[in-house]
Amino acid sequence: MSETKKGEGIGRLMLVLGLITFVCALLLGVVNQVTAPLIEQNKINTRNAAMEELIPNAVFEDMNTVLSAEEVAAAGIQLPAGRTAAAISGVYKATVDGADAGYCVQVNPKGFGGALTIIVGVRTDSTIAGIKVTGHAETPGLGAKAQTDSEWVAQYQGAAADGQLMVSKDGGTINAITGATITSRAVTDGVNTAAAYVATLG
Amino acid sequence: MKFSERLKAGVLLDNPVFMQTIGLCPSLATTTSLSNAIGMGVAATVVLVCSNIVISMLRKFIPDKIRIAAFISIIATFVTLIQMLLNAYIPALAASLGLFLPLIVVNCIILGRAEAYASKNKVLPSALDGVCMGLGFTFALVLMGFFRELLGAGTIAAGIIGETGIRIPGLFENAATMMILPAGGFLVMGFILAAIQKIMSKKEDK
Repeated sequence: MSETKKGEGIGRLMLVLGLITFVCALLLGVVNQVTAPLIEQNKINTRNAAMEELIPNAVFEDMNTVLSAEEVAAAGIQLPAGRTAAAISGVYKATVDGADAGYCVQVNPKGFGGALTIIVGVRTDSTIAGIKVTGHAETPGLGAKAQTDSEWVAQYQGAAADGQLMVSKDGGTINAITGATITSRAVTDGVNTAAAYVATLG
Repeated sequence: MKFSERLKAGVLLDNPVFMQTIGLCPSLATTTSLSNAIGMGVAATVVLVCSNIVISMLRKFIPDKIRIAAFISIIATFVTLIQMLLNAYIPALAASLGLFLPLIVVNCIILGRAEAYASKNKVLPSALDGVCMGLGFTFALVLMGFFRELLGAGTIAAGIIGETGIRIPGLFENAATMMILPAGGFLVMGFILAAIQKIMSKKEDK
């Protein structure tokens, strides 16, 4: 660099870097204040839109259920051997014209790049109404297909909600996404957790 | 330097990926399809232009010894700001860009241009440099993304032209999935680099 100025003492270095990081932090703080409520609202909108798509024309009642993966496992749900339960971040009871229409469960199984957010619709006749991946940090082009590839997601639709789904590599019926077995297993775990948990609600 | 010369340098002669061989990590990771390549390219270009402008403005203020730390702080701030704003105001775009946004922080092209150009030049040329290098990066990604999608999935521009893009008969049924996996990224990169070297050496011979 060309500018070698006098007075580059440790004091000045600290002052300048401190000032830069302070301005950066201030800027981020202000923008976060403004955008955080909007982002939260967007998430709720996404969730509502997904639930409407899974169980149409339903009124959803928030059951105020938030359970960690350990709490879900301790609830005594049955999953395929060797698979673990996912955390549940919301359970919504669906009612269509006054009649029970099943549940939508928001689960957060651990994928390849962190927790996914999946809404699973479970009908009263113990079939999966459908699933929707609303949030993830999976690899673009591979695991991210769990959200974008509607043909892949459609596999779960109409499956028995007995909590025993497995990807074909593990001997089940779900075809894993090419190059993203971990993501496919995570989605399947999430669906199983939701199905098995709904079964305990009766 | 004129804009046209700068553009030629950024896209061809001094292309960040093919000539300087920097920014290889995002180039390999995000070029599984044409639409991914464009998404990453555009997002990185925006951050590159913004960070080049700010770093150029602060170039006399930032002492030599702490420049890297200062640059990284500024770049990371920009990426986080853009991520928050997109999530709040254009959630659809944020969802489709997904992981690309946070990945930009570790894109060494941005730090590279801050160090090599923006910290030594005036604001306007620095902004132009950002645009040209960003376009060069996008061009490289698009080239790789096109071939990897074509060979690995048998489609062209899936997600851009309709949801499935143009399916190539014969290739679509027998797609070489390996090409969209990391190994395929290295292969495509290798072949493109080899082709460019061949062309360049022919030019030098003349």
